[in-house]
Amino acid sequence: MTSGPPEAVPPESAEPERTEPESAEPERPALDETIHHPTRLAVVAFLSACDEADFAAVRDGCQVSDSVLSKTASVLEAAGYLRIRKGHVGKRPRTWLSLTPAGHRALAAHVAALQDIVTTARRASAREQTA
Amino acid sequence: MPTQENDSARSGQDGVPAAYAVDALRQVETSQVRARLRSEMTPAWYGPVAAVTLVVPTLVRAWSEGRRGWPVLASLIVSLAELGIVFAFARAARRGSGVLGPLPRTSRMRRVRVVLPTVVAVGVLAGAVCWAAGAGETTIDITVFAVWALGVWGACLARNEAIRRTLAELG
Repeated sequence: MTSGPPEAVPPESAEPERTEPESAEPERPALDETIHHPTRLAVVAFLSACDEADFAAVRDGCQVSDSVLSKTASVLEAAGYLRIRKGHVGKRPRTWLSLTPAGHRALAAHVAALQDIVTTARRASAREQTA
Repeated sequence: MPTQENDSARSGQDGVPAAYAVDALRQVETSQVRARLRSEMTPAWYGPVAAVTLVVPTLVRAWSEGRRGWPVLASLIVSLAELGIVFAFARAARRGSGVLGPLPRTSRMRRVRVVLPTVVAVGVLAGAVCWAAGAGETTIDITVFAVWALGVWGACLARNEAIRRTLAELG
């Protein structure tokens, strides 16, 4: 059985490790590098279940410190996944966080990718047990 | 020869182990549950304020009974304003919870089918007891609304406590 690469393939493949082989399989959902980090994933997941949340509520809900959440929110905002709104309740300043449509889509794709990994692993395990 | 590793130790795309994927999926679900639970919580001030909002118009109506002039006007204004005040406080309470979003269907159903009928029934029962004891119309009115007010307050406390317990269990 020949397994070497076909000669027609151009050698200037820029990302040899990341590029998926062009097989008959349908396109698999990809993990999102921005929300791959556990804290960012927790924040995005928390916000996905509500319209808008107060900074303190997200901090308590995700069990992170103010500085960690602030940094995380900045990264997610820069990626276009999160919207930060500053407001006031009485005289007290309040920061509200919400997920953008792009953030919702990114989370959905990331979750699909994670489920794909789990499903593939389970299938492989079942195949080994039957073999 | 097949390896002995189980499915959780396998690597998926980008070399991500399946165990990590399982943990990440669990984390997503937990975070979403936490957000939904927090959106159902009401601030501590909401129970007493809702109770006062229910009782005060009844007291004003009772006070204005038999009087003429501005007490009647005050009673009318308070009765009309009651609904608006209740909505305004409910809105403020939702913002005060820190998490805005649609209430989960199960929570809404529980409120409509269990909590509300129970509070109403207890109030009516208290009114019936007052009536059987020979109390006047004003006393019955105040008793019924006071029981409803305390019922709303109690329901808020019980719900918050149940949510706090669930959040603690989630870790």
